[in-house]
Amino acid sequence: MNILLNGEPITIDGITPEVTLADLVELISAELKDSGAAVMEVVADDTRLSADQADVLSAHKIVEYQTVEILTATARDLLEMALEEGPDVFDFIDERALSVASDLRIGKIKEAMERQLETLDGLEWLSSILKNLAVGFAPEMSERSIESSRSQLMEQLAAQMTALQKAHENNDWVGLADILEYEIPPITAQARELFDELKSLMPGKSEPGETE
Amino acid sequence: MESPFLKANLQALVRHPHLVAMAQQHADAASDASYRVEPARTGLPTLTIATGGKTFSYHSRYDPLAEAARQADSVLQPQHTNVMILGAGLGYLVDVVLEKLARPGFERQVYVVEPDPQVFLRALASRDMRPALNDPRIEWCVGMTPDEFGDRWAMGLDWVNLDALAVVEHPPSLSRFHGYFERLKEKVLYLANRSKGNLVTLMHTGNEFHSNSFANLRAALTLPGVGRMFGRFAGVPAVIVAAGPSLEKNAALLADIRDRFLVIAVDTSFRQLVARNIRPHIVLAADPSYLNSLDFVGVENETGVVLAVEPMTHPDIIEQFRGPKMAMTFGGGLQTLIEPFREPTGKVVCWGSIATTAFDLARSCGCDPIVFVGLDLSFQDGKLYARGSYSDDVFYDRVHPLTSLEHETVEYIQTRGTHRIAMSDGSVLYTDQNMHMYRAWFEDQFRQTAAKVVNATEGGVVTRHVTCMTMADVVKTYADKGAPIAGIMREVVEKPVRADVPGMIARLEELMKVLRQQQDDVRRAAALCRKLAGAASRDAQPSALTGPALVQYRELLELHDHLLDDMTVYGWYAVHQTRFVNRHALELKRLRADETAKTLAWIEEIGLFLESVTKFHEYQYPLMEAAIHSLAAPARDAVQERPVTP
Repeated sequence: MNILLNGEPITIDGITPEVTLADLVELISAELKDSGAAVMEVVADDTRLSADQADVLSAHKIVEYQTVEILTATARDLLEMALEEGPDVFDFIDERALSVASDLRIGKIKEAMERQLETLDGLEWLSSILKNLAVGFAPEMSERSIESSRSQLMEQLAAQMTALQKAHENNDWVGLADILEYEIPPITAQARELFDELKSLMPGKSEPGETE
Repeated sequence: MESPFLKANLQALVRHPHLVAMAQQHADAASDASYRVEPARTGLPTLTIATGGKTFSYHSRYDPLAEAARQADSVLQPQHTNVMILGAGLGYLVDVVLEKLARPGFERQVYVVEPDPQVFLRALASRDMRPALNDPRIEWCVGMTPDEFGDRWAMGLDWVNLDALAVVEHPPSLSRFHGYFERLKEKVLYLANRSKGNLVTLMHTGNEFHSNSFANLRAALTLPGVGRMFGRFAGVPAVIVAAGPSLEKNAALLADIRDRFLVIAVDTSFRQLVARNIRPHIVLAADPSYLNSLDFVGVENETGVVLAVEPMTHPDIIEQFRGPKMAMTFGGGLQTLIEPFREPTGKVVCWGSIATTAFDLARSCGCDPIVFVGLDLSFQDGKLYARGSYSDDVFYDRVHPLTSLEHETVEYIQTRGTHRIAMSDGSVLYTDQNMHMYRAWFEDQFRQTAAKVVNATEGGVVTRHVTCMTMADVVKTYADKGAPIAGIMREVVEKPVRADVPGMIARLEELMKVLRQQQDDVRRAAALCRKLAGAASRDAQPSALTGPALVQYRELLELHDHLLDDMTVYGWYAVHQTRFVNRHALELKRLRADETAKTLAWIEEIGLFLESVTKFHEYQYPLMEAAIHSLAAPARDAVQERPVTP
């Protein structure tokens, strides 16, 4: 049986047939404690399991598999991944926001509310990424005017999320549709610009507007 | 409410007197701060309303017009010709709908329902509403109850257009007035179902209505109208005698009140009352069928009873009844033709059953309370009607040595008794589709009637919005009420009738000329069809026709489009050819949509139209000749005919 950490073989003492995948994750997490990295995924032969799936990980012993690979990432890695995913998430938020607004305007409240939760998930994701950027991209933020864009965007997003909540509480469906249709797309557009700018500062990426 | 628009809008409002009255009534509340009009991002006004500590938007604060366009687009389809707008708001939806409908359109094409007069006043104050207010296509229904709206809508309802009706909703209005609009939709649905039923009836018996109306034209013109009774019985109890099985339980008690209460019988109950030696003051007849005319067999000489007839009634009834007669009208048929030539007839409602007409007559007379007997609207005790009605005669004909009258009746009930109704006392009654609808109508109307309504049937299924008591209790409770009915009835029947018979004859002769002109046009159009069906042009598309063929084709279309321009004659044609008119309209729509349709397809369809017009002429011409002849003959009824004074 092979155990790999981010593709590299490692040797761990004291592995017995009773050790589960959860035990292995716990062991490696303890080792990584001061490195800023965290276990993200376990690949047991062809099965990919998230580190969050504690129940599944506890149910399987490592001896059941030929190869167990542990994948880890740092906060910055995660943010970089988020920057990569950003355009797709923004497309999703825009599409959902417009479609929910459209339904609300023609009185399809029930249908709209079902999809509104997905829009809110997307906006909360953006809010959490914007918050973490200050830590994960601290050097870039201090050197550039990006920080001011980020904090301005955070304020706008927070204001609109509060407005969304208030409109929902008042059953003001037209007001809710207005925010989704007219206020959210400019926020996602600004977020796109911010993400592009940050990506360009990452090693191997070009400056905004620079021809590759 | 100072605004540049308000004054101009109020001037335009003058063409809608009911809206002027409503605006004056609600003017005091016009400064209510909970209604806030502000400019949207586009500069157009938008409205927010604060209620119950919550503020919500009536229109988008960014682009209210674009929002209205989306609301309309989500419903309106090219086939929609009629629209009902639920919630006018500041009028954006109205503007968009009017823009989307083809012009010139027609009256009552768009019904606009706004439950809140304050919202309507804000629209008048914040936008130029004149184009909409001046648009004859709109029927404004502001601040009406759902029932008031339903009655208004039903009055202008064109059955044929029901399938082409779009209901466009303004969601914030629906959300704010949820119960109101639910009730309104329920009412409209009910009216629409009923109207579809009417269309089916028209398809099956339209000719019967029409032929009878011509045969009864003299009576419709010269008999005193029931309008003379309206308001003459204020506060007098009325008893409506329907023919349900329970009538047998308490009919005898009618003898106790006959001299003080107005007793109105429906046709089917008349014979049964006479058999019990009870004479109603008035008996109503409106059924066009021969079968129903049997209700009067054996009671033709009841000269102490007034017979009130709708002109569509089977002519045998009017012909053979020897007692005094009055006319009533449901407003359809030949009424608009007759109206200018006589004093008002008196319009009453008919909702399928003559008992509904009796109820409406009692209401118009001012009667209070209005008491029903025999209104079972169900197969109570395994019977259709009280014993002695014509239905017994009909079923008796089917009886043979291996069956019985009861067996035949039960078989009928088992086939038709589709609605099972569990009553509050634990009993179960069965009713058929028609009676089920009548029940819904009565209960709906009871709710809207100012007079007290009592159901003394002592059976049946009508229990909502009505006081149920026994007839014996009715007699006791209202013992001190009443009026000298016989004297009032004598007065309304004997007063001379103002009717212009020569004027009526002249009008019919004018219409005969129209028919003759149409016959000439049909011949000309048929000749054009024959020419165009020739090999040269038949397989070409109309757009590819040139030269003489194009000229002939255009002339043919012109003849087709204008052949029935006379609205009176068209109305008669539409009744006689109901099936064809519906089919033809759909076929024309299909041909217009089919860019590949050949000239031949068009000529064939127009040819069918010409055939249908010819059939109508063959039917209509003799009816008019006979009507003119009957009007020109000396009067048999003792009525005084003189020109109507305006």
